[in-house]
Order: sequence, then structure tokens, then C-alpha cells
Amino acid sequence: MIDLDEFLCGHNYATCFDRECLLWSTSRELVEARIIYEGSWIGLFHGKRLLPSTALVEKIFEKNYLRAAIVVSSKASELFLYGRDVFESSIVMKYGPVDSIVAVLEPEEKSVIGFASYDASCRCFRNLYDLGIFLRLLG
Amino acid sequence: MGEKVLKILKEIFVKPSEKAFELSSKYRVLPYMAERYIRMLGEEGAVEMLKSFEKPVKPVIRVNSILIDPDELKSFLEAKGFRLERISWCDSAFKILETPEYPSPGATLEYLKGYYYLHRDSSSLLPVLLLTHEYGGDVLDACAAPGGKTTFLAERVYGKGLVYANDLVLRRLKSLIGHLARMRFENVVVTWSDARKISKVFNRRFERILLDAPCSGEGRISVDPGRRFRTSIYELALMVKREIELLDSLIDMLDDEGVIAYSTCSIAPEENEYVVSKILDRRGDVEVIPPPVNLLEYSPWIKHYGTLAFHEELGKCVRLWPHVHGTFGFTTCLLRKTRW
Repeated sequence: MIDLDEFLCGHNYATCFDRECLLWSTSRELVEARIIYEGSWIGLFHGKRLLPSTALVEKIFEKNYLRAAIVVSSKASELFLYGRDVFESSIVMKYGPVDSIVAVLEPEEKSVIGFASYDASCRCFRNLYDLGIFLRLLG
Repeated sequence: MGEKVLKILKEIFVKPSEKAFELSSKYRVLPYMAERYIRMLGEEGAVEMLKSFEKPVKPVIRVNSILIDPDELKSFLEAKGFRLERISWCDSAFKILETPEYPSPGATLEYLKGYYYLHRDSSSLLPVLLLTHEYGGDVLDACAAPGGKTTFLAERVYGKGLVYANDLVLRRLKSLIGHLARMRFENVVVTWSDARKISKVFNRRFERILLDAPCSGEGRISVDPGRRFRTSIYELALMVKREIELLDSLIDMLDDEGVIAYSTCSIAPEENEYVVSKILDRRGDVEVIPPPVNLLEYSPWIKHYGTLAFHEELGKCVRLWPHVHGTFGFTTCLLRKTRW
């Protein structure tokens, strides 16, 4: 089991733009009224799903071991960053369990580039969100 | 029309000459702008600068050296077909000389991983480098969005201070937060407020403040041709009024001996020399200081314009001219708060 408190700063907040919310974590209780972000990005509320940030999951993987993750080929990484799904044939390595939501890692530095969910009907991992979100959602 | 705006308008108004109308028509700028260029640079200089607006400015990659070594990133990007040239006065920044057909510089894996910020031009690096030279502590970035200078400030004071990044426009703050999350900076506090009222947000003062004032953007005509005709002299007067108010309010937020960098991406003396002169007239607790380091050959601010004579001290402030420095037109002036 992972103790999430080890990776969060104690005070957690959300800032919502339209239908997406960024979750962030800071070590102090906010007293200033106009603060809309500080500290570290810990997650995203997107498409009715609450998902961790790539940064948070990387921190967890650094201190523990890879779990619920797939490493995909360079080509598949590029396509994934454009919102595409990942097919079984593009997976270089699996770290179980991989039958639900997984972190998607690129093969060079093994950094997290997004999250996907296994869909048995297509035997593929459906893109939930990827780093391209910075271009699509945050302009 | 407000009394203050009318007063500014009267002071900054210049009647365009025949030559100004001729240049205005030939180079597609407003007549008052052409007149201003003639008065500042002479006919020959004005033409040279107007011609420089036609030349594209090369975008700049500024490496997030908290995440990656600049040379390592350069190798990664060159392997993808980019051709980069290091900027002589900023080790972590590269001018993009050539881009591959795919991917674009703002869509590489390295960009999405936060390894760099993409600037339209190198000029915006200057105020950050000058303001944080040999400094480690908190900084207020008063008009911060979309975040190029904020992320650079965050890198410069990383491990030593926090950046308080404020802006009035929520849509632009969304981009700023996106860049912070992408580049993984955890030493930035983002606030949504009118910088003129920021004393109501923070019950403290700052040793360093960056005021990159919302302006006419007249120095960016080469990438935004709409600016050739966008700002009437009346709208300019409104901007000048706001710029004076911003600078005045933010000086109040400075610690004694604290330094504020006032910068604009405008070449208009109305938005620079005029604004800072008004502040020096109005306040006895602030002085202009020279750049702490000579990063490149700076041009000084001008001494007079039309019937206006500016403070001698403004010769210490920095101008970058498009036709001289090959950058956007850009200005920076460092002001230090003195003890009463």
C-alpha cells in the first residue's frame, strides 16, 4: 500500500476552468483570498473522472516500483500524445495490474505521458488524458 | 473623457508631418506612430526601423534547467531536425534557426514534459535576468500571464524564494497555470487580481517586483501586424494612465531598497519615458538604477520627445530596438525604492 500523504503537502485545493478542474497541493493553509494555484499539481478532474497528475505518479514510481503501468513504443508515445489509444502491439513492457486504469510511459526516460483505461472490446488502452492536455485545455 | 486622460493626451499629442503621412501610408502604420519614429530616430532611422517590422523574428527556446541540462536538450531537439543557436547573453536559451516539418516546437515530447518554454523572441528574458542578477528571494510578478517570465523567475530563484504571479485576466491565468504544471514549478503562487489593488491581497512587501505592463505591444508588430493600426492616440493615453497607476501602486509594495523592473514590449516613449518620468515627478522615494550587468550593448532611453523633456536618470534604462538588436522593440527600467 502507498501512503498518499507522503506525496501530498497537507492542504489540497481545486481550481476549475469550464468543466475541467486542476487539483493542487500546498504545505500551508491559504489565508489570501485571491490565490488560485500554488505548490504542486496533483490531479485533474476531467470527463467526470478524477485522475492523478503525471507528476504525482512519477513521484510515487520513483519512491516505490512501477505498478499499473505500460511502457509503449516511441511511435505509440507520439500518437498517444495526440490523443490516440494504445494497442497491445505497441506495448513494450507491462507492470500489472493492467486490466483497468494504467499510467502510460514513453520508452526513453520512462516518464509518464498520460493515463489510459483497458477496453477489452478493442483489446486496447483508451486514452483518458495525456500531456497534450497542456495544449488542448490550458492553451 | 476623464480629466487625467485628457491631460495625458494633450501632453503626448504630436501633429503628424507630411513625411509622417507618407511613411504611414508606405509602411502601413498610424500617422502618429510614423511621426514619433521620425522624431526619435530621424527619417533614415525611422525608415530602417519600419523596414525591420517586415523581418520575421526567430522564436527562442528557454531550457528549464531544473529538469534538464541545456546541452542535453539541444542534442535531443537537434536529433529531431531543429537547428538551434545559443543566445550569447543567456546560457539556457537558444534561438530556433530551423524547424523540422514535424513536430512543431510547441508540440514536441520535450515541450510537453516541461523541458522548455517557447518564447516569441529573446527580449523578454532581459528584465528577468536584470532583476534577479545575484538575487535569491521572493519576487512579485505583477502582470504575469501567460507565464514566460514567471517560469523564468521561478527557475532563477528556485530553492531560494517564491514567485508570486498575479494577473487580472482569468483566461490568461489558465495558460500560466498550465505552464507551471507542465514545467513542474512548485515555487509559484498564482493570484487573480488587479495589480493596482494588490496591496489588498498581500499583507507584505517585496524585495523584487517585475511589472511587465500591459501595453500597446508596438514592439511586436513583426509578429502581430494588427498592432500597426490597433491603438489610436486616445487608446494610447488610456494605456499610459493605467501604466502610471500600475507602477505607482507597485512601488508601494516594495521594501526599502527593493527594486522594481518596469518593462514593456512597446517602443513608444509615451509608455516608457513618459510613464517613469511622471513617477519620478510624483514620488520622492524612488530612483533609477543602471542594469547590474552588461549582457549586451543596450540602447538608452531617450531624453526628450516632442515638447517633453525627460529625467536625465532615464539614460540608465534599457531599450532594445528591432533594427539595432534584431529583437522585438522592448524596454526595461530598474527603479529602487529609497528610504525617506
